[in-house]
Amino acid sequence: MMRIPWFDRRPVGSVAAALAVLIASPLPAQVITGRVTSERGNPLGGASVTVGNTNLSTVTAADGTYRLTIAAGAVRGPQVTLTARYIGHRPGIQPVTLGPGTQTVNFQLATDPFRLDEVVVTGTAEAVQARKLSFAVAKVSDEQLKEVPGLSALVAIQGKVAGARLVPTSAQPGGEVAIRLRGATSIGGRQDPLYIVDGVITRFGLADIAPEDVERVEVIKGAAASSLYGSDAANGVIQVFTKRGRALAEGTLRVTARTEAGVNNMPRRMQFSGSHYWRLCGTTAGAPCDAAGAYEVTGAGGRITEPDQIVDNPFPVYYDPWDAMVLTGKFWTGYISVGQRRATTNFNASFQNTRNEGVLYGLGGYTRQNLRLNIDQQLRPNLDASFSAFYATSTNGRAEEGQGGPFFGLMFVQPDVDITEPDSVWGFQCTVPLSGDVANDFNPLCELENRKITTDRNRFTGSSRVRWRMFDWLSAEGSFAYDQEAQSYKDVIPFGFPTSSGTPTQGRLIKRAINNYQYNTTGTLSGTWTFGAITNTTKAGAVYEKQKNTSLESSSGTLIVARVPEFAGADPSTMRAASREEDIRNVNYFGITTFDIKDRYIVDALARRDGSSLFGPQSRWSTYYRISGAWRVTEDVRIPGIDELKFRGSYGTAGLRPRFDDQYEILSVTPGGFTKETLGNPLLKPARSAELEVGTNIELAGGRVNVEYTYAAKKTTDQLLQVDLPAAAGFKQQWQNTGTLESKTHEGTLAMRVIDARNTTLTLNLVGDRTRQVITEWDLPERLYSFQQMPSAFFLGEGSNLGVIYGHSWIRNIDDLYDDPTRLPACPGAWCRDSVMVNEDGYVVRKSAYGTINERAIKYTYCKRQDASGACLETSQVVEIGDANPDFNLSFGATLNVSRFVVNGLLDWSKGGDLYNGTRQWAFQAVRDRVQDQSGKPDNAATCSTVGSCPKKAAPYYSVGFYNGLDPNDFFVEPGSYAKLKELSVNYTFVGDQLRSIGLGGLQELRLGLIARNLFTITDYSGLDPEVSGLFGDPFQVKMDWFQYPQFRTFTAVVELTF
Amino acid sequence: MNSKREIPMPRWSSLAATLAAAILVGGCELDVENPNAPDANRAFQDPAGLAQLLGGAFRTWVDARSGYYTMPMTAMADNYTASWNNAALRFYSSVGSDCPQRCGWTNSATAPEAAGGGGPIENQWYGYNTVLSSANDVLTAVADGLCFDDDCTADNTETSRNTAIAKMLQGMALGGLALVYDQGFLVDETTDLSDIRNLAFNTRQELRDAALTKFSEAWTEAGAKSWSTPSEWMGVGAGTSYTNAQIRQVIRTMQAELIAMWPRNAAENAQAAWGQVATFASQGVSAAPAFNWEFYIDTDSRECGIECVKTWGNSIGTMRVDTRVAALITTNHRHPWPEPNGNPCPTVSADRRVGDGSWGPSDNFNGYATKRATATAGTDYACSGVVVFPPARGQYHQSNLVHIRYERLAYRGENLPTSDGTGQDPFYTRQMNDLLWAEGLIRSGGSTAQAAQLINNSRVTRGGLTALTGAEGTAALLAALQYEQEIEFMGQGPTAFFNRRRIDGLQAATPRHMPVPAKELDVLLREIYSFGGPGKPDMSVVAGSAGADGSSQSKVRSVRDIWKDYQTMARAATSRKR
Repeated sequence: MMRIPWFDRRPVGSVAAALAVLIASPLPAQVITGRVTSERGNPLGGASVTVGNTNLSTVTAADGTYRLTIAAGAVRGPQVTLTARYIGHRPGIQPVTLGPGTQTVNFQLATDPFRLDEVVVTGTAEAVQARKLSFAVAKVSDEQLKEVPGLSALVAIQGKVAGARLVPTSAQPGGEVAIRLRGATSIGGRQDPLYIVDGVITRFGLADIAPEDVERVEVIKGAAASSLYGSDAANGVIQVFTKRGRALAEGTLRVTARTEAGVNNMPRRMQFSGSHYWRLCGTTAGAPCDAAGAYEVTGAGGRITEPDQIVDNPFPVYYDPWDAMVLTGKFWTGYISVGQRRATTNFNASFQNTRNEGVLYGLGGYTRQNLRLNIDQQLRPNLDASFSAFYATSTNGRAEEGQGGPFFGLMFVQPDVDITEPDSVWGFQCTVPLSGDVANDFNPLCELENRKITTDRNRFTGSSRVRWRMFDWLSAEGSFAYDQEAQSYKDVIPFGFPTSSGTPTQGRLIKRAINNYQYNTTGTLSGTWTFGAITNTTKAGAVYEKQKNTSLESSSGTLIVARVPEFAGADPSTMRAASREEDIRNVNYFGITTFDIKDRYIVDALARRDGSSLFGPQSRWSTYYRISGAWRVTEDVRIPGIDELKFRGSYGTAGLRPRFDDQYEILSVTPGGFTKETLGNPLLKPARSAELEVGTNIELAGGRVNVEYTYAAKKTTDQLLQVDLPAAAGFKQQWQNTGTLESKTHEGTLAMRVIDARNTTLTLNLVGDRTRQVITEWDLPERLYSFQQMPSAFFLGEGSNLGVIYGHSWIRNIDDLYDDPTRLPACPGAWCRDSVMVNEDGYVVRKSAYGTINERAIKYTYCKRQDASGACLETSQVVEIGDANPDFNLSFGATLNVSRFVVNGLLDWSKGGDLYNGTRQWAFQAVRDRVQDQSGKPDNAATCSTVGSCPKKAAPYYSVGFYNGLDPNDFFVEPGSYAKLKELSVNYTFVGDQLRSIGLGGLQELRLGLIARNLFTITDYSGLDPEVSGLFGDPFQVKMDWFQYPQFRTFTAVVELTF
Repeated sequence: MNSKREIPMPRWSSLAATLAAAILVGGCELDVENPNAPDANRAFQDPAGLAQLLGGAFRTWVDARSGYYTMPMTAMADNYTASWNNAALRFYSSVGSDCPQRCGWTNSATAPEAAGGGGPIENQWYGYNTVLSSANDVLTAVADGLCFDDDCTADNTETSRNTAIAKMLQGMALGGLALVYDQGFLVDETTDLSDIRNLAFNTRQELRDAALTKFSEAWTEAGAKSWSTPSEWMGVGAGTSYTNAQIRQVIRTMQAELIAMWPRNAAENAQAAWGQVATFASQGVSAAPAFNWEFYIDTDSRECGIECVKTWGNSIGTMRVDTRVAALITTNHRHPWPEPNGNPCPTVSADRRVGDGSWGPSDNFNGYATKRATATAGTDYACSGVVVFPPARGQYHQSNLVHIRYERLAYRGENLPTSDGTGQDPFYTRQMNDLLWAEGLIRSGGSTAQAAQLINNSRVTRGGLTALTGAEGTAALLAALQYEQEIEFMGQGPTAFFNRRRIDGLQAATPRHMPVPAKELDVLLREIYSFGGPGKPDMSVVAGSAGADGSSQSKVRSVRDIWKDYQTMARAATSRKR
C-alpha cells in the first residue's frame, strides 16, 4: 500500500515526523519471534503473521511459534505493525518498534465464532473484512460444512444462507440442485446463479465436485452485489473455495482419510386404492370368469364394471409393489486428502470415490471418482502463483422420471398384480394381467430391470493464477482457467421388450454425446492508496470468455437383433442423427473502487462493460454499475451493549444473457423443405436487473451474537421472452425484450454462541427470508405455462405473482353457483337452489345426481365478458387456485460441542405456498388413488335423499369429475408447508492420549460419527416429499408433483483419520 | 530505498501485456453465425433453397389438415370416437358431460388444453397461415425477378413450376382457412404487411373465393410447361413425383372439395355451386389417367408425427369407429353401444370393406379379442371384443369396430407385424373425387346414371354391393352417396366433419366452424369470440363481439383482473349477508 504520510492521522503522522521517517536511514536486518495461541492458551498452528504495508509474512508452526526475519531496508522506519490471523479467531494487531537483536511478540487471539473478521473476495475489489462490506455477502465456513458434508457441493449451503432456496431438479443420485437467491429475475427461464470455483467461472454445474473438498462458500444474492460479474450475474453469484493447505501449520503434512457409509431409504410411501369396481366371479350365474377365477368377464375377456361403479370390492389377493420397487440402497464415499504447508509452498491433493445407489430397484446408481490438486507457490516475495487441477469421472444409472417412469407405473398397477413374478427372459413378468382394463399400467420392475439409462461423465478443470505485487501499493494479476465436460448418454429399450399387454416391441436406442468446454482469461491491476484517514482500493480488469458446446445425438426406434444394443443392431432406415454446436464469446471490462474512510465509512463504486456474442448484433454491448456505502455506527457512536452496528446500502445492475439461439432467425429444416419458425432479433439484449439492497449488521455480547437483516428490492426489465407473432407474419415467434418482474425480499440471520464455556459451546444459527415477486409489466397476452404433459397451470400476466396457479375450482358454496349467468336460481328450474345440495365432501352437486354414477362436483363459472347492457357474452372457468410462493422460510441450525462430542442439526421450515399434486391426479383416471377407495365408508342407503345418506361415491365422481381430463383444478392443490430435519449428526473426536491409549498413537485425530440426512418431515402434503419442483422450466415456479424421483433419507456412519 | 529496483520487471510485464493483448484481440470477434439452423440469408442464397419452402409447405399442410389437433373434429362428426382426452378429444366429443350437449370451442389463451384451450383451435390456423406465408415468399421472389432456372430467357420451366405450386399452396392454405374458420386474412404476395397488426379480416366467403381464384391461376400456370415435382416434396424416401398434368388434376379435386365442403349447414349446402363441383371433379384425380394423390409418411413423421388422424384412427387400442357409423355399415352393430357386453363380433355386413370383422394373423391378436382373418375379412374394418375406453367416460365412446384401412400408418406393435407406421398417405383418392363428382351431378341436375356409375366405383368395386343405376331417385342416390362418403372420407382429416356439417348431421350445439384463435386475437389486440356450447348458437357470432367482420381494437380484460373483481365482489356480498 502506498501511504501518503502528511494525511496520516496517527501521532507519527505529523509533517515533521513523516519527513523524519522519509529521511531516516534503512534499518538493519531484524528478527521477530513469538507464539500465537488461543484465548485458552492452545497453540494455533497455521496462523499467519504479517508485517503491515509489506510483503513480509510467515506462518506459525504446529506449536504456534513463528520466526520472522525483516531484511535490511525492507521497511521504512522503526515502527511497524504485526498482525496475526487464524481461522475462527479475531486478528491480533501489535505495534512493534524495531530495534537491535531478536524481539519476541506473542499473540493471544480471541475466538470469532461467526468469522466476521475474515475476509471475503466475491464481488469486491480486493479481499475485504466481512465487517467492512457495504453489501451482503453470505459465507458458509468449513466449520459449518464439515459436520455434514452435503451430498453435493451446493447442497452444503442449504439452510445456512438467508434468502437462498434449494430444490432438487431431480433427487436421483448425481442430480443437480437448483438454487434461487432471493426473488426470481427471469419470468420464463431459470434462476440459477453464476458459479465460480476458486475464481474460475464454470457453466457446467457443481455436481462433480467432492463436497469434502469445499473449504468455504461465499454467496452474493443479486445485482446490488453482483454487478462486478455483469451480464451473467443478475441471479447472484456463488463462489466455492476448495482446500489448498493454506490453513496448515508451517512445516506440517496432514493426511486425512474419511469414509462415510450407510443406507438410503424412503421415509414415506405412495398410497393407493385397495379396492376395485369390477364384478366378482360368481356374481352372475354361469357367466365366464378370468383365468384366476377372480372376476366375471365378457366373452372377449374384459372385466365388467359393476352398475354402481363404486370402488369397494376387495381384490382377490394383495401384493406390495412399493416394497418390491423402493428399496434400501447403499451410500458409500471414501475420501483422502494430503495437504502440506512448507516455506513458500502449500498444496492440497485429494481423491474421492463415492457411490450412491438411491432407493430404486435395478438402477446402476451413481458412482464418481474425483481427483483434485491445488498448489500455491510463492515464486518471489512479490510474486505468487497458484495452480488447480480437477478431474472427475462418473457413471450414473438412472430412471425415467415423469410419465412412463417407475413411479408412474407404480401408481397405475393394481395391487393384485405381483410385479415380482419372475420371467425367464425379462427377469420379471412384463405382461400385466387384464391390462386392457386399466390405462397406462405397466410393471415398473420389468422396466427398471430391462431399460437401461446411463450417463457417463468426465469433467476436467484447470486454472492458474499469477499475482505480482509490483509495488507495495500496486499489483497485477492474471489468470487462465479451462473447464471441460464430456457426457455420454445412452437409453436402451431392448429388442423384443414387451408392452404391458404382452406385445413385443422392437426396442429403442438413443445415444447422445456432449462435449463442452470453456476457457476464460482475466487480467487485473489493483492499487491501494492511503490518503491520511482514507484508504482507497481500485481495481481495473478485463475478462475474455469463450465457450463451445457441441452435442451429437443418434437414435433408432427399431432394433433388429436381440442383445446388440448398438446401432449395428438397428434398422438403418430408422437411424437418425442430430448435432448442435454453440460458440459463445464474451469480452468484459470493469473498474471498481472502494474508499475506506477512518475504518467507519465505506463507499464503493464500479462500472462494467460487457460485450457478448449472445446479444443481438445491434446490441452487442451492455453496461452495468454499482454504488454502495456502509456506516459502521459504533466506530462513531458508542452504544452500550452493542459491539458493532453497521448500516449499509447498495444499488447495482446486472444482467441475464440470452441463450445461444435467441437472437437468430431460424428456419426449421423439415424432411423435404424449410419451415419458418423464429424471426431473428438483432436488437436482443440481456435482461437487466436493478437491485436496491439495504441492511444492517449488529454484533453483540463480544461477538457471540450476530444479527444481520437485509431488505432487497429487485426489478428485472427487458425480460427475455418468446413472443407469439401474428399468423400473417409467417414466422411463429420471436425472442424479444419485454416484461418486468419485481421482487422484494426480507432476509435475516441470527447467529448466537449461546454457551461458550471451556469444554462446551452451543451455537445456534437462524436464517429466514420472505420473498414476494410480481410481474409488473406484461405487454403480451396472458398465458399458462407448462411443460410436456404437465397440465398448463402456472399463470403469466400483468400483476400476477410468479408461481401463481390457475385452473378450475369446484364449488363448495351454493351462492357461488350463480356467478354463472346461465345458472340463475330461478325456481322451479334446473339450477334452482332446491335442485342442488352440498354433499358429504363439501362440494355442491346436483340433487338428482346425488348418490348415482352421475354425481359430480360442479365447476365454478363466472361471466368473463359482458356487453353494454350487462348481458354476459362469455363465461370462464379459469380462476386462481393456488400460489406456489411460501409465506416465509426459516432454517434452524444448532451445533453443540461438549468436550469432543459435536452434535449438529439443521431444521428447515417452509411456511405456506401451494403444491400441485399431478401425480395423484393422473391416477384418478385409472381409479388408483386412495380417496377413490370407498370400502371404508358406510353403505349407501337404498334411496339417496339427504346429505350423508350416500357417502360412497361412484368412480366417475373422481375419475371423470376431479380427474378433469388432467386439467388443473383445486382438488389437487395442496398446502406445501413443511418442516424437515435435513441434517442431524453426532461426532466424537479422539486425540492425543486417547489415541495412544488404544494403540493409535500414530494418528493425530480419529473422528467417529453418525449422520442422518432428511431424517423426517412434518407436512400436510400428501405426496412423497413437499420439496417438489417440476421436471422442466423454473423449478421454483413449476411446483408440480409429476412422478419425480423424490428426496430420500440417508443414514451413515463416518470414520475420519487424520495423520 | 526505491522499491522499483527490486522488481524483476521485463518478463512479467511482457506476460501481462501479452495477456491484455489476447483479451483485446479475442474481444473483437463477437459475431458468431448460428450453425444449427438456417436463416433466410443462407437458406435462400441459392434459388433451390427458396424452392425448399414449397416442400416444407406441403408438409405443414399435411400436419394442419391431419395432425394431432385435428382429431377432435373427427370425433365431433361421430366418425371416429375415443374418450382419451389428448388434444381435448374427449372434451369436444362428449355429450352432456362437460356441457349440457356438445361443448363449444374453448377459445382462450389461458384455458388448459384438456378443456379445449390452445392447440385444437390454433393448429390449423397457424399451419395454414405458415403454408400461405411460404408460398407468398416464393411468389414475391419471382415477382422480384428470381429465376429458378439457369437462364429464364432460355427456359423458365422450374420457375413456372414453382410459381404454379406456390399458387396451388396459396389455394390450399386459403381453402383450409375458409373450411375451418369463420374469417381469416387474405394475404398474398401483393399484400402490404408493414402494418400487420391492423390487417382487416376477410370473411370465409372471401377466403373461399380467393382460394378458388388461386387454384385457377395455379391450374393455368401448371398448363404452361411440362414438369414434375421433386419426389421429396411429397414425403422423404418414397415421395411420389407428380407431373404438371397430375397436379392440375389435384387442383381440380381440391376446388371441387372446397366448394362442396364449405357450406356450414343444409341451407348453404343447397346454395353451393354444384355444377362447378361436377365440372372441377370431372377434371380431378379420378379423371383419366386416374391416380391417388399421396404424401409419404416416413419414419420421422410416423406415429402421429404429422398424420395423426389415420394413426390414431387405425390403431386398435387407441381409437374406434363411432357406433353411428358402425350401425350404418353393419347390420348387427347397434347405436348407441349396448351395455354391458357391447356389439358382437363377427360383424355382419354385405359390404366387403366391412366383412366379418376378422383380422390379423391369429386369434386374439395382441390381446384385442379379434378373430384371425378369414376369406371374408373386411378391407377397411375389423371387430374387437375388447373395448378400450372406460364406461365412466361416456358409454357413447365405446365401440367394437376398428378402422384398419390405413393400419400401416398406425402405431407400431399394435397392428400387423408388417405395419411400421410408414407408408403412402392418400389425401385425395379416386373414390373421393368420384363421390364429389357424383354429388355435383346429382345436386346440379346432371346425369344420375353417370352419378350412379361414379358411386359404383367404390360401392361395387371396393364394397361389392349391388350396383346403382341412377334410376333410384335423388333421395336414394344421395343416401347411397352419403353411405359411400362415410366410408371413403374416413381418416381424411376433418373431411368427415365438413361432410356431416353441411347436411346438418352434427349433434346439436356442435360448433360448425372455428373462431380465430384467442392467441392470435390477443396478439392483434382484438376481442375474443367463440362458437357453440351452452347458450350460444353453433355458428353465429355472438352479438357485440368482434367476430366476422368486426375488429374491435380494445384489449380484452385480463383473466386475472376479472377474477380479482369477482373476489372483491364475493367479499362484499359475504359481508352484506352477515
